[in-house]
Amino acid sequence: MIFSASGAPSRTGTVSSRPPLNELQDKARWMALLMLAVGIHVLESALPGLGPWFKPGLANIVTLVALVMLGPWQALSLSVARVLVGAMFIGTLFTPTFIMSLSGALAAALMMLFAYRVIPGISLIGVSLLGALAHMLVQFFTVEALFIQQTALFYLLPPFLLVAALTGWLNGVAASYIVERLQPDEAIESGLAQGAAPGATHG
Amino acid sequence: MNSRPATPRPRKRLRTRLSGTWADRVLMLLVLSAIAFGWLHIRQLAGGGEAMVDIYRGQTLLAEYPLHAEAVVHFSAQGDIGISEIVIADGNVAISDSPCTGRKCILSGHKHRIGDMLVCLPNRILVAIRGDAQAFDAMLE
Repeated sequence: MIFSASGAPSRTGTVSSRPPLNELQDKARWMALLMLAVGIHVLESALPGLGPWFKPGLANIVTLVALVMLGPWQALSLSVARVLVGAMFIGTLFTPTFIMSLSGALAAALMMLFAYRVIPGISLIGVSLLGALAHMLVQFFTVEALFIQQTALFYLLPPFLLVAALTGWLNGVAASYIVERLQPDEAIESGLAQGAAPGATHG
Repeated sequence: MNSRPATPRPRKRLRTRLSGTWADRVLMLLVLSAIAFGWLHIRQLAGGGEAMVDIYRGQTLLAEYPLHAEAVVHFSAQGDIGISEIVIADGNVAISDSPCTGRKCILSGHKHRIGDMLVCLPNRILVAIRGDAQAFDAMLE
């Protein structure tokens, strides 16, 4: 495993008040993923990208990885923490940009938890697709509710959603590749990594 | 962690990786058709007629100009954090200056198609190009 702490000594004779190693390891992984997500978030805000309003949403890949490796609530808290810490670095804390990021990230995370749990046969690609769409939609509604109260704003929605669908799909591909590489071999062999190996059953 | 020797993972082709499961594809198809449908619907609503430029601050209409006018229009829109300068010239509209930090509205460049919009979120300024057909007005109500 990539995230395993080197030389963790507490195999025998642990003090009972100390939290179990598994728990600590998960926390360390969460923190490592958070650092990664914040890094991508900040990098992305500096990218010129596809146009002033489009972002590829790469930081969402980390949320997807957390969703599979750590669990739903860790993924949700990760995406919120990423937006918070990222905003501190970019200097947009509590500005409209921040509110947009936060609403979008929350919506995407919730949507992805839901999709991952509920929709049968879905892989990380579909999960990411739905997350990206939820992100975009909720941002539009946030703008409409808080900043520019014009229904005509929704006329912009189709092209934005189209780009979101494409980037969402590609991010999903990236995420499932990463998850596949991070999972231990046994997990893949015993079929635990359901979402991680989309093409395996019918490829 | 892995005590056993690493078995070589089966390598997947790029196409397999990109294509997703059936559920993914069905989802994508649904999404794309919804987008296409919405797009056509909006095209219809936005209508034809003479292109007009509407400038809003939040909910209030600040000004209205024809897009294709002889004279160049410079409009200073007072927003929440300052004044956004809007220029209408040669059938194009652009935001030339704005007090926001992101400058996304200025970077959006020139717009000329009906249905196009320029948005300055921090300043709460919206510049929308619409046709003067009835349908669009009805949507705005």
